[in-house]
Amino acid sequence: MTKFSTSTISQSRYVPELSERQYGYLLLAPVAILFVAVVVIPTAFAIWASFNAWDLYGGETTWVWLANYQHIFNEESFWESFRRGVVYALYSTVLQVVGGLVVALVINESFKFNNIVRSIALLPYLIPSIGAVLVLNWIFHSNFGILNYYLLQIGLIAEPIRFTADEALAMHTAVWVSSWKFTSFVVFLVLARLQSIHSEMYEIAKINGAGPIRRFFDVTLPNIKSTLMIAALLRLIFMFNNFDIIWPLTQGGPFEATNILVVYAYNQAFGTFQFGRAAATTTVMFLVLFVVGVIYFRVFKPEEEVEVA
Amino acid sequence: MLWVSNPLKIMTSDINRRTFLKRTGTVSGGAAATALAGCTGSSGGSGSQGTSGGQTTIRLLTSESSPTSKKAFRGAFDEWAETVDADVNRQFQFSSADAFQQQISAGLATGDLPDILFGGITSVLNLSDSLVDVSDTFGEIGLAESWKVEIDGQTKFLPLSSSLNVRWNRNDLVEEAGLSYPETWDENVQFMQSFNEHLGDEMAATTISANSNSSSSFYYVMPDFLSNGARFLKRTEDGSVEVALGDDGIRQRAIETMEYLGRLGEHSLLGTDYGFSDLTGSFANEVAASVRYPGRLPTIVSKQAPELLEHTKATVMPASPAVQNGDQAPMYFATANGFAVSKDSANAGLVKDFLSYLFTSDAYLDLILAAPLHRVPSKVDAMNSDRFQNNSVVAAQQDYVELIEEHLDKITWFSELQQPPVPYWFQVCMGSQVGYKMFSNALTKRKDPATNVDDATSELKSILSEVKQSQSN
Repeated sequence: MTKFSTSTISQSRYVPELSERQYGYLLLAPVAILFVAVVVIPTAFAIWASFNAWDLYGGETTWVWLANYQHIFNEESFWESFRRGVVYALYSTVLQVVGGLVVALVINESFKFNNIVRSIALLPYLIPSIGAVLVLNWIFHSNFGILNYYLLQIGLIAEPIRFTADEALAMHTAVWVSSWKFTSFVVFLVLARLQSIHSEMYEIAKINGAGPIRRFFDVTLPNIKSTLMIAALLRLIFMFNNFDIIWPLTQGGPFEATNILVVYAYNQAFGTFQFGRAAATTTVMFLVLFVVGVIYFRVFKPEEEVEVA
Repeated sequence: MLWVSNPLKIMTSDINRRTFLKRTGTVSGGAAATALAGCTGSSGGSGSQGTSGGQTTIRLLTSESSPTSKKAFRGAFDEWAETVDADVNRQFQFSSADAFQQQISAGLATGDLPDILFGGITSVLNLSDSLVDVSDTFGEIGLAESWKVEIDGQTKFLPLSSSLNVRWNRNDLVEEAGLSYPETWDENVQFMQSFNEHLGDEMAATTISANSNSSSSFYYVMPDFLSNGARFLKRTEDGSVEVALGDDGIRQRAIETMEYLGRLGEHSLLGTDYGFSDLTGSFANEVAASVRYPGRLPTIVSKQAPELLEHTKATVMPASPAVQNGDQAPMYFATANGFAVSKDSANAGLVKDFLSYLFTSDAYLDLILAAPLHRVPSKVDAMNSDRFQNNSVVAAQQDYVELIEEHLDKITWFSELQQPPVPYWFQVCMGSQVGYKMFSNALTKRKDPATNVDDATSELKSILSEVKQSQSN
């Protein structure tokens, strides 16, 4: 570590003399304050709120111990929303990781205009979710949507597909829309890792007679495994909490087909104004993801060094 | 359920913009909600932000967000501000209808309602305990007594306008089909069936929102539900609020309404993902030949498909069985928009002065004409004025104005309003989505009518009990 010259500080008229440790704390302070302000306090507040009932019309809170948790656990709709939330998170994470891997492998190759293709691959991630989803909502609309229009025009379908209006289709639509939007995130994580793999490893594999598939499994995959694991965990956490795709797209409908846990929490907070229950729901989500994260790291050990055969 | 084989109509930019604004508002609310529920907390009530450093800030929250309305609100305030002997500035918040409710709730929770609320009569009056008496202003403005709604002897609402909920029809196509407009529910189902047969696959006779997550389905069906004598809540003799839906007579009326909706749904283009703009868009884009909507529809048609305006005719809703056999007086449902002043306001005097100015200046008609027929003036002189009557949309829809004049004495505010109002009516009936789901289930026939009503009754009882419980804590 580079030692900081305290003599420079002591010469200053404005900065008191600090030890190296104190100076380190000083440097950390802005981030620490920000972290406490935007993460620790709000999280603590949400957990505190989950033990309270809120009188909307009097503005008062009453400590109710575990009553909010007891209530949501007794609600069938909570468990249905939980199940849908898991389906939504897992289904879209698998699509994003597999899709992201495939796209990253393709654009990692050298070909003409590959910089342009890489830029295009990043585009969905750069578009604000709300704008993208509203546009897609119009594209998918059963009566006015341009997709149905062309599918009908070319005779591929005989009646409009109700992408977001059909209970059986709405979840698939939401998952594919979110996967389209967020696959780029995985693409660029994986691409960055792919580009750091030494070309000699591939050359040695080639010399030893490995074909493209063998090279993928023996060289590429072991090198990107930890990146894929981290990407999968991040996407899983993000998708379990994801609100900005599903809400503008379906608002949890039709007939609750896409009513995932975060939408359930939203409706608790701003539908029936049960803020305590909404906080209890999000606290449960936090705990579930925390436990999943711990188990994930213990089982998959993404931090382990790559071993190449 | 119907579908249109060849919609081939893409929404115009105006629709996209409306929807964009509406949904952006919703999503902003959603983001805020998620933040509150999951991460962040409110700072608690801060009280009215009335006066600071000698400057007085008047805050207005409105469910109206069209550019012309914004301009009219701001223009009126700025004109008024020049006439008063005080340093006043404005902080106006223009919301979507759903976000309006959420912001009111947040204001209630923090004890920090804005000075002025502008919105629908039911949503505003359900807050009557949090509003000041504006009887004096009502008198100054010179509104007709018939517009006065008193709660415990106090006037809490200054009505700006009313809009009758009607069915808008493509009159040319109805005439072409040789049909006459239905007067009863049975006739209505028959009418839609015959109209569909005439129209073929190219267009649906009517479109209905059956969205279990949107108030669009709720507002569509409420007039049928209420005019047939069904109710969600009631005040008992001792003044407590109870669920009315399960009561013998009301339950039967509700079941009858659900059966009717199921029959109507069979001959309608149902939108399980529809919002309000999808309804108007279906009509303006000739996907459906009729749609139930308030008076805003001609304004939308005049922008998106002006050639249809002359063929657009308003008719009142067919009479329910309860009205037919005299169990229920005829009811024509209207939305009324107007102003209320919050008890939290530290500047109630100034606020009332501003509202008096607004009602007596040109700004009044500016606001009315921001949505000509959606806002039929509460002041008779304004309604008869050349400026209102000569407006192109009003002139093209004299039938609608006449309908309002004809049925003025039977007009009922849109949703049920108990005496005294139930402050948590929206929370119980709409926020819980119980009403949305019951109506959507009926239209799509997902549940048999009796089960549908009984399930909704049970849910309402549970939610009402929780709300009462949280209030007694």
